[in-house]
Amino acid sequence: MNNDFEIYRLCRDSETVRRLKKHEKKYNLPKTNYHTDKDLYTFFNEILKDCQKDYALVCHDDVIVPINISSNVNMAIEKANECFGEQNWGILGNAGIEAVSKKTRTFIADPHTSILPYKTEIPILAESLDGNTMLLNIKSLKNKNVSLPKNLKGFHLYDLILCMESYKKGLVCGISSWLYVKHDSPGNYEAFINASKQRQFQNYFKNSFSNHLITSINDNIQVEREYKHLNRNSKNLLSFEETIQKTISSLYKNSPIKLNVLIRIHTPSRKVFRLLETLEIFRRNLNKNVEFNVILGINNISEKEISPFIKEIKKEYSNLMIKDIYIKESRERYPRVNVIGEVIKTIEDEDSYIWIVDYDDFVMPEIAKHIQWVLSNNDIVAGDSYVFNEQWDKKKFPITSELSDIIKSENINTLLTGKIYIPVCSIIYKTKILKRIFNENQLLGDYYEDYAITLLAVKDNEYWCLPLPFAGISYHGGNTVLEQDRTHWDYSYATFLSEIINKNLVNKKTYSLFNSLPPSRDAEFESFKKGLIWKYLQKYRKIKHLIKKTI
Amino acid sequence: MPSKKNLKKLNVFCSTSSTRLNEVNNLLIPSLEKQTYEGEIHLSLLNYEANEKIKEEDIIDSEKLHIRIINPPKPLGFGEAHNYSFNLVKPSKYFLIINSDIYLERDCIKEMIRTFDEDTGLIEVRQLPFQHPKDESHKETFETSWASGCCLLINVEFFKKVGGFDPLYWMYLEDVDLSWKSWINGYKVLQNPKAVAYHFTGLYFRYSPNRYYLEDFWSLRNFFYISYVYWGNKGLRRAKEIVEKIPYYDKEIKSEAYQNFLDLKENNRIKKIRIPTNLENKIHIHGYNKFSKNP
Repeated sequence: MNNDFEIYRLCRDSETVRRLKKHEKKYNLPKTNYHTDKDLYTFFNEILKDCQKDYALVCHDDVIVPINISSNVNMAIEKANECFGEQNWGILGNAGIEAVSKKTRTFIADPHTSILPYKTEIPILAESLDGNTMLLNIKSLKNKNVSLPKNLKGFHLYDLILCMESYKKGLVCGISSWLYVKHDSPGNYEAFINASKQRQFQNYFKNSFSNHLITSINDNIQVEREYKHLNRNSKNLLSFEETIQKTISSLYKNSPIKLNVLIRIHTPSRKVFRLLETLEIFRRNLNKNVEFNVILGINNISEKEISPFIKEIKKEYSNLMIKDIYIKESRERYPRVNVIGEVIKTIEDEDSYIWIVDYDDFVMPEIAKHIQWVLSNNDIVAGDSYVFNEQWDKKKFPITSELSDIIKSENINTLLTGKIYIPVCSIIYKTKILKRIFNENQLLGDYYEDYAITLLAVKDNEYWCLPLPFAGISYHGGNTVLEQDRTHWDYSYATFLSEIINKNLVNKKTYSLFNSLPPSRDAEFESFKKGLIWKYLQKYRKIKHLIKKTI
Repeated sequence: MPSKKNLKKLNVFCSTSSTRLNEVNNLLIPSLEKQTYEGEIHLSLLNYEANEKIKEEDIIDSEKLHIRIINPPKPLGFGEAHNYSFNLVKPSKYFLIINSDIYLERDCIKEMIRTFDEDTGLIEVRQLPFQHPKDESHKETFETSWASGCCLLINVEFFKKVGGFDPLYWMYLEDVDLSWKSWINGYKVLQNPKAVAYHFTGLYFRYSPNRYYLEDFWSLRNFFYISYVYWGNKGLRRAKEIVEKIPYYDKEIKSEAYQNFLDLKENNRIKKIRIPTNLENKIHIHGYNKFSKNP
């Protein structure tokens, strides 16, 4: 499908216009409108008012577009329409700040960028965009009356403010790899900082949002405020982030999502109460269109032995509608793996999602507010996990619980290097992915099944690392991670890794890339610690300490 | 552990706002409703922002709780808000202050009240999943140097004696100040480890620093304030030295917070408090910020 669009460029002088016109002809680029002698606020408002096409691609005069820009723009539009709905998005760009995570995402060649980005199938929801290239959805922007405030003028912050105006009116913005361009300018940081301090912009931010600080791709902008007010002022303004969240949530609020939490349990341990308590809080934070089920996958214990306990928890957490599944032949394919395989056989809806959480871990209910839009366009989502060193007695909660580590969602990327450090509860999968994995693989062994499943899942599927808290992991005397006898771990490790290698999960390009990278600092430090200098340093420290003590 | 009391009415004060009613309806009220505490719970919801009134119909119906909505005429800080509710409701013996994002374990209130006696000024809950990394409470006496204000049982007699929360803090560290005043006035501060509350505070999830700008600002400003109140100019100098070493704040916020403290000092008669020597082990500052290691 060919979408109707025009290119607009505001040029610094007529010489630039002449040069660009020459390029347009030479490379048979789409029709371009050239303007000079106006500021960017006026320029954008004129486009929004006068453009007769459905879409307008607005580029800086130092942006080199690909020769096939027409088909790329069409793809960007098609993907955005598919993902957000044609009438729900306002602007697409090629660089900006990702919504919620606030990561900088760029699909651009410029003096700041040295690494080639990977292509994303769907546009990334953006908080704000960089103005080098902006694709305006003229129809939806006109429909919602989006424009830049008439009292603002100049050449800075218009990109951020246009995104703000778009979100205010309920239209989302996105970053699309299809809008990849070459941008010759590194931007003028000093001018941006000076502009952000101007009264006109400060007043705009102050009167539009409750923020004290606003993120932009160039830097954070501090908003001058009277501090003796809490988050809000007298106008009861939302923050920019809340406005974005509201727009995104309303876009996805009618998308039905089914989420199944699978709790693996093999003992009547009261530790599960903490997990259920957090699941109850999680449930309370969910939107009504999210169907939420809790499944207990019970393995390695007889029904007779554990059923009174199961009855007790089902009664106490009746709101969670807990379903219990007893795994009969747990040892056939190892209990931890087998319980997943058996439970997913019982889940009919392949488009539902599965979140595997062990009974002694717990979920972070914060994610409930985001779960609908996070899962709507993604089959695999990894989040952050918080590790706690804990001591337990027989109570429903730990005696002590101390945060010791945060396992970042991005750790999923290091799996291919052999660094296996991402827990099972950090990842939510679409059921059909797990079904396929269990149908196609034997999954021999246990204890490393989490990593094997993740590796098999990400082989053919897109995944998203979201730096939001998903789960809490408990390290305590009784759990498998701390077991003394590691033999069964070693066998599982060897089995899974041999499978991974022989199933070609590590492709040649990835392998060569990691091999070509310089050794990490940690490795260098470890080898340094084996050397003589380190030994003498340690001896010197000990002597120094002894002398100090004697004195 | 003190003997069990049989007190029948508990006043609970929650300082909230019209934009946080989701938390009130989805977390706070249900968790109060499921308490095994056998007395009546009277919940006062105070709108600290005072800009958009909280109406009765905004709050879910509750068969178990007696709910009162308080809409003050002007925005109030954290301590001011609880002082306001206190003066209006006039609780007897003790009252509970609680944040709207708290979810209490079902025995929580019963446990707190079980710990209460007349020599106790404050009883705090144990927060999960993030325990406050402060001095651990004493294993037998449950004594602790300071108690968090996010869910705190307060002795009425003590609260009256010290004139409630110091409103000059506006928000953050007023709970530490109240705790230290408790010790200084001869009341204990306890943490009951069996009284558990779930508090999934956003502060630990610092994936976007600007969301916590306000929190950072007030924490810094009040770090200067509390250091000055208890240790005078020497304490202030130390606070400045510590703050300068904090890596994750930029210079601007540090200097703004300091300037704001200087303005506060200039415009108000700050009453300094002398720490009795026998309490120096309880009233002390290790370093800035309860959430990170000392710089």
